[in-house]
Amino acid sequence: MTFACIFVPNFPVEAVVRAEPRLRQQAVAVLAGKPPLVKVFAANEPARDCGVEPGMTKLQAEACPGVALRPRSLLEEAAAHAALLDGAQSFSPRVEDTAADTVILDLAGLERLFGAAAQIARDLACRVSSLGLEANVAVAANPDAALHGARGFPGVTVIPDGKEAERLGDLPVDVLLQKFSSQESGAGSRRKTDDGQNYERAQEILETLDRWGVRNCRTLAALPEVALSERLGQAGLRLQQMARGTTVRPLVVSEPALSFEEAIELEYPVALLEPLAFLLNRLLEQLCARLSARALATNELRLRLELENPPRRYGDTREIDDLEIDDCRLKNQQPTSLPRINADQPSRNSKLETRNYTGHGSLTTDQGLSHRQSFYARALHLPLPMLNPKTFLKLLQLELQAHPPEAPVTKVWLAAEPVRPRAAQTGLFLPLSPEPEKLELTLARIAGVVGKSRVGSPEILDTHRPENFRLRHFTPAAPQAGAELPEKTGPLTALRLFRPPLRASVLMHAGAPVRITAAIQPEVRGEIVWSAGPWHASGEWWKEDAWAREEWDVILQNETGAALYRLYRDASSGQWFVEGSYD
Amino acid sequence: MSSAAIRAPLPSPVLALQTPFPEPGRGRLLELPRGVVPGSRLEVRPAPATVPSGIAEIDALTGGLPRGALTEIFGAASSGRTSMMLSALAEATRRQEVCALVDAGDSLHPESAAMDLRRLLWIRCGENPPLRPGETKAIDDLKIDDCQLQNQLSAAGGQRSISLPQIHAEERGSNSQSKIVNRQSSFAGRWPLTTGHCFSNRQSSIFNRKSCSWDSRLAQVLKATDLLLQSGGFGMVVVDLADVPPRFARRIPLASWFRFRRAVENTPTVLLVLEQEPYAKTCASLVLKMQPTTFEQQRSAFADQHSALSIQHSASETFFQECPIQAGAPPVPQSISNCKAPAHAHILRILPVKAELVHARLQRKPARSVTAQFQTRAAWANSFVG
Repeated sequence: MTFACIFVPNFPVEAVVRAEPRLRQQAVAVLAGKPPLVKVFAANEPARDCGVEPGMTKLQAEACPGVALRPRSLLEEAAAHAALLDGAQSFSPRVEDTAADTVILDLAGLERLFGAAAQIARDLACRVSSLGLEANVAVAANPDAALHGARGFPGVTVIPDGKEAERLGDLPVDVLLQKFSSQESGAGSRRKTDDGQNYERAQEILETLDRWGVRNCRTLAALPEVALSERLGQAGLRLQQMARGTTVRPLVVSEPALSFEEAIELEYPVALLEPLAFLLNRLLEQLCARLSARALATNELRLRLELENPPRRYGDTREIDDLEIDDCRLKNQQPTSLPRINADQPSRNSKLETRNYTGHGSLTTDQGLSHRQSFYARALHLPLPMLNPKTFLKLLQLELQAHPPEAPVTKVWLAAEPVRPRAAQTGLFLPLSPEPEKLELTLARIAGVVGKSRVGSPEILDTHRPENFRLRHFTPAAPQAGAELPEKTGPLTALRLFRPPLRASVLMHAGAPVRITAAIQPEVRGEIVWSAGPWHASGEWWKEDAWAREEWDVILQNETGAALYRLYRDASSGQWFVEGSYD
Repeated sequence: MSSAAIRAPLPSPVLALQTPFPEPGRGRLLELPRGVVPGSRLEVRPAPATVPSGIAEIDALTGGLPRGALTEIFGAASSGRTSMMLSALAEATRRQEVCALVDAGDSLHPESAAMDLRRLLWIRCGENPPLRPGETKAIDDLKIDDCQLQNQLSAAGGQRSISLPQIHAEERGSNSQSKIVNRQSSFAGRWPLTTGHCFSNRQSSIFNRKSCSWDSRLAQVLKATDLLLQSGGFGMVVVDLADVPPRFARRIPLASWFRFRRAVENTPTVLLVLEQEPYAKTCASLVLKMQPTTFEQQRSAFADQHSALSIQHSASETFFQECPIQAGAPPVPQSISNCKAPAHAHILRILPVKAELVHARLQRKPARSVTAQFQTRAAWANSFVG
């Protein structure tokens, strides 16, 4: 059995750096606590070199030049932890979620897939690095030895089987207790309560060992077991086994839900679309890297923005955007449990929201304009699974341009629905068709020019009502080799419609139209030299919008030639209209 | 730079350019390398790839629609332009190609299009998109294009002052509204997302339901066509300007046509433009003029049908029961021979169409006008005859 451990040192700092990659080479310290008791929670090596230590106050940390101070973000830590798990699960399905900054995976049987243990360890480090985290990786015969190796040695470490005590001997005894301290930090603090007592007991043992002069694992491993047991009990024996690298325990395999979410909390609200696009780009790249690590793609992106002080207008009955859902409902929900929002469905929530806004009109102005945060949500549905952050960014930009948020953004949350990537094999002799990513972008851009509801593929409905079609999202089927081609129909007479139909005045004689005048279209005016009709048509009489009309086909002779038009008289109003021309 | 450097001999290509033109017959303007023959002297020009238009007579006349080139089909109303366009689209979708139709007049009747509609992208121009402050880019582009059109108009010599009174009231109203909207959107675009939105949103809900002017429609057409051609992968892109009055369509800058031609060059895309007059000038590789039939031709075609149907359906004297009747009166069975006026099914059973080859870059200019005639049939006529 071989196990690998991935450990991210200074995890809170790494989570911040992952969200802001430009801080990678800088001294960074993470602050936590409520003002005025804000203290340094974590600091990376360059920051420690500058004199910043955990526990310092913010004022003390600010005195150190060249250190970037950032507030601690649990959202970013949760996203970094999820990325860490994705990186591990891209190699093995047996992964233990040991701590927020630590995962252990079982490498049994992976040699034939990924090579030797050392190669796997290097690949693991590269994969985690591509996800935005710098981690230590250690491979050993048991999970605890791998864990202590990753925490004690920087970079990639391979501990041969049987050499655990020798390799771990140089490590300080503190490494054996970091398991408890690291669990206290970050999103994986759910075990904190369970291990709290163990942690306190371990601290006591550590102080005792320090008094004894036992400071590294080699010295601890050399102590007689019986004497150690008499003085420190079972906890002392367990520590010694860890120092020797001989602990045996089963791996607690975790099966996290397949969710891909990224979030950024902003220090200052963003009021313009361009800086927001930079943030979205960063989140999208991280999401796509995670999806790629799991060999997945996405067909749905969900964006949620937290707004600061949205403008409130009492008595304003304007239509609120479909996807602005009731913030009271959202406030009670965690980001991970955000309901899926369908952009295509004109939801009833919009009306409810309008009523809510109107209903708040009875409140006082002070209450209404208080610091009340609102949310903005959009969902982007893609016809095909895609994995291109640039395409996603452009689509989101177009969506935000079409439906901008109402107030500055303070938090950005982005999630992707994981699906299997599409597998398409095109033929060499098949006709060309647009690339799906390009086509989606083009459709979104054209929708920005002519309107979203006016771009698509027509679909004829099963009804005799005029205008019996609807527009669907344009998703052309891929050409197929050897497909049976439909028969040729020959040229058909086409009808060009006037939308809306032209109102006309028609002079009737002997039951047939003899003269027509369409005020709007000067061409449709004159004597009718030939007419045919009427053709009575009606339908859906059981509905409120029942329709009935009589149609005529007429020929007008003008200077360019004969022109054919279709007229109809609306039975309900008796009004004549020119529906279109035959061309 | 020193004076010596200025007086230094120019490189030979520059010298060649500065050499005055030789007099006719005294020398050659440019010596081509051996083996290179000017295109104008080629006896047989290289034939580009063409695709059938779906009408055998047109294919015989033109050799098909050229790929990677601009084809213009123009003519008056009821001249068969749309029938030919739909026939070409049907043929392209039959080959499993993806097609796009940029419909300036929003006039497509989907039931007339006997094709695989799932492969047709229909862009219906003519309505202002919802305007929001963030949406300034697209609208600003429209505004720029609109300005170009305005400049073109002013350069044309005040044509607007002549044409404006002729524009009907609805067109004038929508035109002024579109100007208001454009000005407003560009104003809101300078503000952050937080400001100006409510105002713009309220206004857009009023304006975006109105149809926009022909200028705005043309700007939408140009923008959408540009995007489609840049996207690539379409077998055929059709720009339907058949409903656009020539006084508006003439304002399309020639640069736009050049851009379209360059965009489709060396691609398998067929760019087809339907219009009332040819606007693309030399950018078009093939120009077809569709001519409407006269009333006499219609009547003679009807007479032909009439005689044919009389023979075909002699056993059924009450074949056309939909002969002209007064509204509300019961239908009167009439024999075809007694029916003086055409029935509803008569008038459109067969529509004769005449097409003339005006210009073809791919072939030698014809010595005289060559035409082709064909007939279109109503969609229901196929099953009706069969």
